[in-house]
Amino acid sequence: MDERSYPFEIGVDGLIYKFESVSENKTILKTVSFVRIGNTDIFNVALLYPLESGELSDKIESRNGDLPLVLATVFQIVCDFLNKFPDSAVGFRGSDARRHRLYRIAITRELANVAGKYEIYGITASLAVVVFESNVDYDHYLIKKSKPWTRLSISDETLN
Amino acid sequence: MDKAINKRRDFKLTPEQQKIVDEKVRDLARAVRNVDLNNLPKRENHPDTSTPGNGSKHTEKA
Repeated sequence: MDERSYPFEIGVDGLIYKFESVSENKTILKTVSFVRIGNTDIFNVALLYPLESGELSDKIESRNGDLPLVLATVFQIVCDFLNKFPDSAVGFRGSDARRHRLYRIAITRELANVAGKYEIYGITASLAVVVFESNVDYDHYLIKKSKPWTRLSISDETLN
Repeated sequence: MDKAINKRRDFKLTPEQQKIVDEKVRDLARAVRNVDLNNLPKRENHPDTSTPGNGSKHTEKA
C-alpha cells in the first residue's frame, strides 16, 4: 500500500499484533490476531476493536477518520506475518457485508502492487478456491506469499 | 512512521476476545477444509500457469 501506516508491536508468540489508531479526538488501541486453523498452514486474521466495556469486537466501527491508514497498517502486519511464516496463508472475511466489501475494494486496489510478491485468492460459497478477481463476491479471502521461483519467472518474462 | 516491529510484549487475548476470534476461526475452518496450499490456482497470465483447483472457472486474465 502506498499509504503510510501506523507503527505496530508484536506479541512474543508472533500471533498478536497491536497498533494505535490516532486522531485529534482519540487514540484507539487495535489488535490483530492470527490463529492457526487446525493443523494446517492457514491462519485466520482478525482485526479487533475495543469496546467501551474494555472488550474487543470485530463488528463496530471506530470512526476515527483514518480508515486508509488502518487498512494499510493491517496489510503491513499481514506482510510481516507472512514473511515470518512464508509457507503459510492468511484467511479472513469482513464481519459484515459492508466491511467485507470494503476489504474487497482494498484488495482490488492493491492487486497490481502485490503482483509477484503475494498471491490473493477468493473462496466461493461452494468452497472453491479461485484466483481473486475484482468485482466478484467471495465468502473469504486468502493471501499467500509467492514462491521465490514465481518471482523469478515474472522477472524473466519482464526482461523478455 | 517507523514500524516498531522489534518491540515484543506478552500480548494475551481475554476470554471475550478469544470468543470472537474462535467464532471467526470456526467459520474459516469450514471454508478452507478442502484447501491444499500446494495446489492453488495460478493467474493465467503467469508463465507457470497450471490447471486451477476445485473446478474453478476463474482462469481468465485478471
